[in-house]
Parts: sequence; structure tokens; C-alpha cells
Amino acid sequence: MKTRFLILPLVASLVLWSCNDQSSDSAAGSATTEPDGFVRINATIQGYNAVQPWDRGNPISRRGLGAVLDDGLIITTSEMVAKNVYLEIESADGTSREPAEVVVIDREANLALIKSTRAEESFVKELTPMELSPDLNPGDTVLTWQLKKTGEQSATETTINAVDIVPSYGGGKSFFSYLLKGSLQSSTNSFTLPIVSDGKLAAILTSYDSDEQISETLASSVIKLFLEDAADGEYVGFPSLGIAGTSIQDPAFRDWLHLSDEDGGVYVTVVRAGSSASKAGIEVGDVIVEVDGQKLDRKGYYEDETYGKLGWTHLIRGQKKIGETIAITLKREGEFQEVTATLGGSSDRLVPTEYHEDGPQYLIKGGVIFQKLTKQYLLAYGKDWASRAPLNLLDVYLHSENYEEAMDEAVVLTQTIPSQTTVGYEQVGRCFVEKVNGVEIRAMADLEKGFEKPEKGVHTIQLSEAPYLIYLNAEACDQVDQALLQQGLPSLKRIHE
Amino acid sequence: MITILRCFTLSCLLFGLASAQALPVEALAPSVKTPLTNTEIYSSVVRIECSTQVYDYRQPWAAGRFGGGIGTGFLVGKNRFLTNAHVVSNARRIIINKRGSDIKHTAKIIHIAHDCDLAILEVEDFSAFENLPYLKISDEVPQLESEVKAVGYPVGGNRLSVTRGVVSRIDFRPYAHSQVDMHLIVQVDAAINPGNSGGPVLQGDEVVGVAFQGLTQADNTGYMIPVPVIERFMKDVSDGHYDRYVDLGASHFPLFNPAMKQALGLPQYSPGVFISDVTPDLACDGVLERGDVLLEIDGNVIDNGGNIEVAGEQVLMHEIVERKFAGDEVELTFIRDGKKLKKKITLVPSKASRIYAISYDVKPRYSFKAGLLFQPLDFNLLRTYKLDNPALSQLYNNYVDEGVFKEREDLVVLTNIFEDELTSNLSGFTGKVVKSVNDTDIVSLKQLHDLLAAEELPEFLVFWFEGSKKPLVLKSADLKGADQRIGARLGITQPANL
Repeated sequence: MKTRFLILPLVASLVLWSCNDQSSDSAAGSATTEPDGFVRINATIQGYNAVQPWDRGNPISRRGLGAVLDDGLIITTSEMVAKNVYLEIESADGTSREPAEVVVIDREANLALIKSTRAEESFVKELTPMELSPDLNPGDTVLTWQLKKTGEQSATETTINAVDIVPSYGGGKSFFSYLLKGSLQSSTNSFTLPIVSDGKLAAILTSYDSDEQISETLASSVIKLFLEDAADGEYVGFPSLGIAGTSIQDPAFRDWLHLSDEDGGVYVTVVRAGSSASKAGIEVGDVIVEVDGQKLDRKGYYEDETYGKLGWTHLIRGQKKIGETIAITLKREGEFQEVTATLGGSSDRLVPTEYHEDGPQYLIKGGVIFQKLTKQYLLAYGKDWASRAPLNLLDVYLHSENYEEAMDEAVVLTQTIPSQTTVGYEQVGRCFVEKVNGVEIRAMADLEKGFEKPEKGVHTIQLSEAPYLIYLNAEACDQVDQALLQQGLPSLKRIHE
Repeated sequence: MITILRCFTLSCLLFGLASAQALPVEALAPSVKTPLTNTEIYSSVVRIECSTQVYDYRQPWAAGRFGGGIGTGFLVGKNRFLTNAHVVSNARRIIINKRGSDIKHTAKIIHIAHDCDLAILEVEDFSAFENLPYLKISDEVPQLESEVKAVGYPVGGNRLSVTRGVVSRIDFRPYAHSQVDMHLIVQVDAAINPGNSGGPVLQGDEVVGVAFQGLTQADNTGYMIPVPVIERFMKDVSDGHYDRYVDLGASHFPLFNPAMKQALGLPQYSPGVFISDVTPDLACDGVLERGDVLLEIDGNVIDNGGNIEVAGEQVLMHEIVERKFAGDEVELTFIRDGKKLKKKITLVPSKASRIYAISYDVKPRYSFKAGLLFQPLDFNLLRTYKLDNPALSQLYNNYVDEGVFKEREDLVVLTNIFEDELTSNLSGFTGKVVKSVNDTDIVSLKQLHDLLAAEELPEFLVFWFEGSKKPLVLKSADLKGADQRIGARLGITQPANL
């Protein structure tokens, strides 16, 4: 069970005194230089209500640390700053506080760059920017930095236990991580901690498992790629091949795939439409045996020169940039084939994990609520959402590849607000919208087009499930919508073109 | 708060009240003109002791779990005892005790109706019961607040128990025994407890219901099966076998919305419901279509919520079909494309919909091959294995309404992979529905079994599963001896029950 640093109870600070003293002693001994390039980050995070998407959720305060880089930029995790309604940075000793803004955010990689809104007058200018550390190895010791209430730095020595490709918090994509072994104290700013080696930024801590005492991090090599991308002001993100695969260990399955004992590889289960892989001619059922000249083993690992066995996706996400090409060797029906893929970014999934940074998309027409399906919406069905959420919605989430031709976004009639227009439609909901007034609905924006042309004063909405058809009185819809606005609904829609 | 219907089945004590009535067929009741005395009524109420054997769906080849329970029954005709189906479900041995006697009379089931929770038993030797009166089944559903008494052998003692109360509610509710069937139900506040099941609920000396279920989270709510349901059962079995209830086979959507009425060309105060789905192969298939507006059923006007008025009471329009039998006709009046049409439909029972009902008395079907256990999907399987992967759930939900049953007699599930050198690398497949084997779509357990049992097998057996993105592959050459090896380990004597 992973425990993430979220809001920490105040009680923890009592414990801190004794532990912190110890750790800072040991830290003082091992750190050659004591960098001062940290700031506290205070964020007020406010998401949206998945069921009533016009409503904000409860605000949450997050506190964490950021590492100061050149040009007054501060690096932190996207988890720390995403969906913030207020963001501020604070000097280590607590004497200066300044509002800050997000410069670049990558929720897939869980990284963000922020800066003070005060530009040249900012206290950040006084701090020494941190450099990125060169790559480290298992066995190396690093310091995990925290700030005590007094503003003094506290560093805990931890050891790189292993390196691995670890799924990130945001998009389910995996990134290179140092796994650190060592006990950390709870602290009032434990969210997003800089990991330092030899005075340089080696990684950012993303989660800590207090039972195992293992920290997961984003290594400096990932941060480096992120910064290089962001440097020109046009951030494009990490490259993606656009496939899903599974390891191939069962002997009968291997024989059926005509794999010899030497062959490893990954069995391709999904190729996303329009992806780099699809353009390169990779098909479901292919076995990817070699990527960029590296042979994959039966579990999908390749032999990295520095680190030994690493997950194959690192060859793409950890070493390539969008627009670069990569050579891939496939085995298809017993024959080896060479393909070259030109890497693109990871396009939006049909059912994205997160809603848009500006809030979930919706449209209200006469009290009928339409929403773009996201995983966040499905999560609103609770702990057992994977079996409790409506099956038709789950199916699109789990098997998007079957729907990509029919839709660009999954537009769902989620529910109806009781009103004069929705009389009798109390049970209608949780179904996909196929047409509105004859207009095919492939994305949220199509709804608006459809609702522009009611016939004989009636809107006709065609649905994927019973009752398949509902009708709304166009004039009454407008009245109901106006009334909803008067009752305090901030807006009748949030649609991104 | 959800209240759970609890049916006192055989694992615990059953409750029942006894009532009696002359059977329409071979009813040779002694002519009793004067009202029966209480003592006479009590004498016709019997205690039923049932020993059961419940099959284990996780080990379908095994004998199952032995258990038992107590219920009540009552004499309704010559050697005809009426009781609940759940009192005698999965029975291995049934014993009937007369009031005040320890003699155990061996009995057997003549008719059992799991969809309305009723059964008729007979004893091997009726001579001991010859002189007892048959309890008469009333012609009517009792009035609200009228007094009733329940007679039976509930928990709390060994002797006959009598409790009194009034009729609290008359409703259309689910019957817990099968989980899926809904019929007329009468709620009474007379104490009805485990063991009362199958016993009569009486007004005077006439039976107005059979006590059968209660609620776990409410007090003073007992339920009885009312006269119309009992009568229907009696009539159904009068030809010697039970044919089950019939379905209309059409789903409707209420027509409360003015814009909807306008769009369908109906006047604002028009009755009728919108037909949203028509079940393939059932009565309405080929007659009604999605988008029709159903106005009348057998001349009864259907309101916008789907109700009709019968004897001054609002009841669901299905009540018309409830009282009919397979082969009976129903006249439908509906609007299509602005035209009013009248058509007759012939009612048929839906075999496919039994996939949603708990099944009893039937040895589970399975096929075992190379450490893989295949079983057809039904409610028992779903519950035993807690199957809930979305692909399976969707097929199950669509089985009847979307006509999945027409192509697939069974939804065959790979329920278990038993450990063996052959199977040690197979993961992520259990609980899923088999879609195809070597490009042959799997439509029944028998088909799959025969396919795997063939003398000559192709080099590879490639199984694809619903909702799975990779296949399960077996090498036919590896299968030699695997069945015996794995079967012997698990004690499987029979490789299949088809």
C-alpha cells in the first residue's frame, strides 16, 4: 500500500523535533555543500465535482518544496500544482511570500515549472540555482531535503536501492525512477521533495511508502528531458509509440507465436488509431522483439548499459524526443520485420484520465446534463468503480480502440435535473449521445451545433440505450436554462474546442 | 436504505402457514359443508422436514453440501400437499409429520414452481391422512386491514403455532426464492417466522395465502403468496406439468413528457407508454417495434406510467399477462407512424430469462479439460465466483433483451485454472467468457466440450475471451495424460456434465 504525502496531521510536527535533529546532524556531516536553492510551495487545490461539473470540489491545501533552477524557474511535481486556484512560494525561513504561476505542466510525467509573479523583485533571485546531477547508480547515497518549521533545512540520507521504470501519478505512463531506501519523517512540507547528490538535484520525490520505507522519485534524466523540451517555450511532451503490450512467458503461447528460445519480446495487445505505431504499420498480435537495437527479454526488459535490466518503454520515453525516429524489429507470423516509427506525442485518449486543467467539459440543455467521459467521472462511482460504474461507460474506457472510429470524445448524457422539460426523464442517464436533431455527435462541440436546429420547436436526442430517443421542448429548454443560471449555476457549458 | 428480502430456505429453518383447497383436478375432497373447526384446520397443516444436497459450483463434479430445514404444508386434495418451492428445493429426502404424531411419512415432489415459490407434494402412503379435511382456497384477495391468521411450524418450539394479524399491503413485489420473478404479494403483520414457509394464511376456514417470506430489516412484515398466484399455479399444473410464467417481452418507457408526446404526434392527454425494447423471440417480437406507443392491453387502457386499472386498483399492465398461460392470446392496441393498430400476440415462456434466476435441483453443468474448468453462466455461477468483469456483465445483461441467447445457447465461462505444469504460466483468463476456440465461435458448453474432446486436435488450441486482449494457447501435444493427471489430483471422476 502506498502512502502519498497529502495533508499531514499537525501532530506529526511534535515527533519531528527529535527525529529531525538526528537527521540533520548526519546530513551536515555528509553534505559537502549545503545548497539553498529551495522554496516552499503552498498551493490551494480545488478540483471539480465529477457529477455536477460546474461545481468546484472542496479546496485542499498542499505544501511542498520546489528546487530553484536558472531564470527564477522552480521545478516541482504537477500533482503539487495541478488544479490550483492559488499558488504561492515562500522563502525557507518564512519571511517572504509571493504569488506564483505555472509556466509548464506535464501531468503525464508529473512535472511542472513554476515561477514567481514578481519577476526581478522576487526573493528567488537571491537563491543559488541548482544544477542537475549526473546519473546515479544503485548503492549511491543521496539526501532527501525537507524544511523544518524553523526554516532550517533537514536532510535525510537515503540510498538508491534500485532503479526502475515506474508508472507516474498522472497518466499511467512509466518514467525512470530511483527507488530510495530510508526512513523519512513526516513534515509540514513533505509533498514533492528535492533529492540532492553532491549539491546537485538528483531527483524529485513523488511518493513514499512508510511501511517499506521506499521512496519513488523522478530521476534527473527525466527532469532534464522535460527542461530541454520546455526551454524553447513550446512544450510538446514526452514521445509515445501508442501501443499496449504484454509479456510472453507461457511456452505454448510462445510456440504459437513462432518465438524461438532466444526471442524475447512484447506481445502487442492494442495499437491506438493514428499513433506512431499505427503509422509505422505495427499491428495487434505482433511481437516487438527489438527496439532501437536493443533486444527485449521475455518480460519486456532490455539490458541497459548502465543500469542493467530496464523496462523497454524507457528506450522511447527516457531517450527519445517527439519527431525522432526509432527502429523496431517485429516478429509477425514467424517472420522478422523491420519498421521505423516516427515518434509522436501521446494524443488524448478517448477517455482521458484527467479532465482538462480548466475543468471538466459539460453542457446543460433544458436541465439535461451532457458530459465528456473521463476516468475522473468513472471514479465518482466509488472504491469499486471498476465494477460498479455503468457497463457501457466502462466498456468505452477499457476498450477505447473499438470506439475510436465512431467518436472523438465520449459524449454522455449523465443525468437530468428535475425541471419542466425533463418530466418523465428522471431515470434517463448514463448513456452515450448519438445524434442531436440529426447532427452526429462525435465530440462535445457537436452538441452545440445540434441544438441550434430544433425541428418544429422540439429537440430530438438519440441515445445509445433505452429509451433511445428523448425529446425536449426547445422554448421551454431556454426558460429552464435561464432559471438554472438564476439559481446560481455559474455557466451552462464548459466546452473546449 | 435497502431492505433485503429474505427467503427462509433450507439452510435455516423455514416458515410456513397451512391452508387447504380442493384441487381443480382429481380433487376428491370429502364433502364438508359446515365450516371447519379450528382443530380440523390444524389437523390438515403438516410439518415438512427436508434434507437437502446443494451442489457446489466450485466443485461441480462433487456431491455437494448436505443440509436441511423445516417448513410447513397443508392438505389441498387427495394426497396433495401444497407448500413453498423453497421448502423442498434441492431435496434428497422429504418427510411429512402429521400434527400430534411422530410418524415420519416419506413424501415426494409432484410439481415444483421456482418462479412463484409453490410446490405440491404427495406421501407414499396416504392412509394416515385419509380422514383429514382439504383446506379450501378462497376466491379472493383479502381486503386491506382484514384479519388473517397464519398456521405453521415456525421456530420456537416443535408444536403447531398460530399467529394473528391484519393485511397491511397488497403489492407487486419480487419473490426472493428465484430472485428475479415479481408477482402479486400480500403483506401481513401476523408474525411469520422461519418454519412458517409453505403454511396457510386463513380467513375463517378458507386459505387466502401461503406464507413465504419476510424482511430482515423490518418488524411485523410477513409476506404471503395470494390467491391469484396460487390459482394460476394450480391451473398450470392441471395438465400434469408446470409450464412457468409467460412474459410480454417488451420494455416500456413512461410517457410523461409533453415534448415527447408532441413529437410522437399524441394529444397532450393521450394514454400509452413508449416501447423502448422488444425482446427477440418472445410474444411481442414481430408485432411491436421500438418507438410504438402502446395504448391498451386486452382492452385495458394503459396510463402514461404503464399501469392499468383492475377492479378499482392501479396495477402494472403486466398483471394481465401474469394471469395467463403459454399459448394464451393478448390483444394489443398501439400507435405506429400515427396509425392506430390492433394486433393479437400469443404468449410464450422465456427459457433464456432463467439465466437470471437462482436454479435449484439441477446438477451444475461443466466441462473439464487440461486443468481448465468451463461452466455455463447463470445466476448461481455469477454468485459463487462473484464474477464482475465488465465484458461478462454486459453479455449477461444483454443476454435476453439484446437477443444474445439466439446465437449463444450458453455463455461459457472459464471459471478456474487448476495448477499444473501445463497451466502455471496462464494468468488473467479466469472469470471470462470464452469467445472462440481456433476461430470457431463458442455458443454452448457441449460444443466447446466436443471440440476439445475431438480425436484429432490441431497443433494449437487458441482460446479468445470476451474483453481479453490476448489469447490463451495450449499445445495439443502437451495435453496427453493431462486430464488424468490433474483430474486425479482433484478427485474429478467425470470429465464433464453436459
